[in-house]
Amino acid sequence: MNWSVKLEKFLSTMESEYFQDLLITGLINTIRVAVLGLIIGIIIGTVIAVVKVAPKYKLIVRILDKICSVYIAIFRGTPMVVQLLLAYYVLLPTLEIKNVDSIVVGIVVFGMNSGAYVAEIMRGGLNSVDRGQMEAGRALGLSYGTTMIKIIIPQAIKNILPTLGNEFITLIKETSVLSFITVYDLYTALSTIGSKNYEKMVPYIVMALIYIVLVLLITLLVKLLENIFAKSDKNKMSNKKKVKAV
Amino acid sequence: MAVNNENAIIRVEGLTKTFEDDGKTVLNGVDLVVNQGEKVVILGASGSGKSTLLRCLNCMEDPTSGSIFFEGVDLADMRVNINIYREHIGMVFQQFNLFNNKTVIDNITLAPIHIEHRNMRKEKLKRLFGKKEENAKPLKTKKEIVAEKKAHAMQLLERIGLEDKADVYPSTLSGGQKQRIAIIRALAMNPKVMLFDEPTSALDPEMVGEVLDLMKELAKEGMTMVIVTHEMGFAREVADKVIFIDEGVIKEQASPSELFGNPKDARLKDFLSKVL
Ligand SMILES: Nc1ncnc2c1ncn2[C@@H]1O[C@H](COP(=O)(O)OP(=O)(O)O)[C@@H](O)[C@H]1O
Ligand SMILES: [Mg+2]
Repeated sequence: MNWSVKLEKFLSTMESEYFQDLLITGLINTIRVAVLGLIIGIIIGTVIAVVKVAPKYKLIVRILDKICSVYIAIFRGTPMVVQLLLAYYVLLPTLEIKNVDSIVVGIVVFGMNSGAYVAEIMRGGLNSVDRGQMEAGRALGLSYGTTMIKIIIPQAIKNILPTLGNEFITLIKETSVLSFITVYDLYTALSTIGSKNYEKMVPYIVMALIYIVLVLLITLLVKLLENIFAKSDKNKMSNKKKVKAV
Repeated sequence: MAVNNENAIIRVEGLTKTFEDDGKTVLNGVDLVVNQGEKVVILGASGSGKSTLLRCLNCMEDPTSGSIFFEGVDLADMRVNINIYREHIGMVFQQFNLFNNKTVIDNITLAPIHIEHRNMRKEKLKRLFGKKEENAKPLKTKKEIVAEKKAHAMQLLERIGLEDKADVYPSTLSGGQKQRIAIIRALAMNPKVMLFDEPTSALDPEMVGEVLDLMKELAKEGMTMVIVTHEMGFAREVADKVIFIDEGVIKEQASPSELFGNPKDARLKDFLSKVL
């Protein structure tokens, strides 16, 4: 096997602006679906988690709780590919919705799927916050919702940051199934580049490398965020101390 | 139905509390009056229902039956919007419960700012749709509210000598500092009554004094206080009325000198012999 020839072939293909654009479009789409999917997932997941931990003496809460359970069962019980296929090839035609970009379907399905997983993560996060925090908020006359939003959820998110990072990584990697509904993602881009002159080995290796770099970058980002959060707890104190020591 | 022409801020009638999860009856018919400016200390063995009674006063625990009249309004009535009344009932916890994600100053101003904003919005709507009043005061802006509440919070911090801690997070404070800030956080709401649930029990011994001193100051200024504590010296010094609770009922209720000097109930005698 002559790797230098293969590499040469790949590089010459990539000299064309057309293929460069393909790769960049694929990369951007992959990131776009994962990032927007995660954001939607965090919103949906937080709503579900709040319903799950809310006191159950109101009927409306009990009904919402059941709905959330069904939602979670559906989205965790089927593979992402199946959800994408159902949404794009069954749901859209059935509802006679036209002119929807496939990437929008991708983002929504990724978000809804992620929501089911983030819900569980977020529930753990909410439960990890000391009960006294809610009590203090309520005793001051703040409502359950206000205390949740201002006090409990921020602390929960801080506690689950590493786990959310993992969810983000999972989403990035799962974007490779977007090609099933014609979204132009990283996988599609490099596949197309590979078909150019029937030389797929290097493109596939490049694909793996790009995924790894993306995942490493996310890991780094999470570490950074964790440090910022951790510092916000301590820094001002140590600053004061330093000032006094001088 | 209680009438509001009395001196009582809080009037508890026939209060019972049964926890649903284990069916245990913790309060079994409690009657209690807390008058304007009065300091009431609640004594009792661990597990006797002191915290539950205190937490029923602002419906942190929902009473199973009976009434909690706060200035004549029955808080046990499910139709009452409890949040509005809690604004006037300060509560101090054994574990401080400062908001971990907020700086000290934000801990103090969070609720006052939030509540005043809400009241402003309501007033705005009322003026928009209601009839115009001739000499209605101009509404405060958000900025003015924030500035005002911050200034008030700084005053309170200066009062306890912790103004240099305004911008730090609670995790950097000592227990005594945390509890004193928790007390002024409650005070920042200008409450009509303050509830204390063993405010010094989680403190290192050397920090108990600073917290009790602050509470004594509040007492002198005429604050109405209901205090669960094991600090008998403090109870003797500050209380107008001491209550001994046992097996979910008030077994004895008297002035401190009477209750400590001449206890009648056998369980109270036993309790005092252990703690004094
Ligand atoms: N949320 C709860 N659910 C069930 N039982 C409780 C709950 N809170 C308190 N209890 C029980 O009620 C009894 C009285 O508790 P508490 O009022 O905290 O006592 P105290 O403050 O006098 O030590 C205890 O036996 C305790 O186990
Ligand atoms: Mg207790």
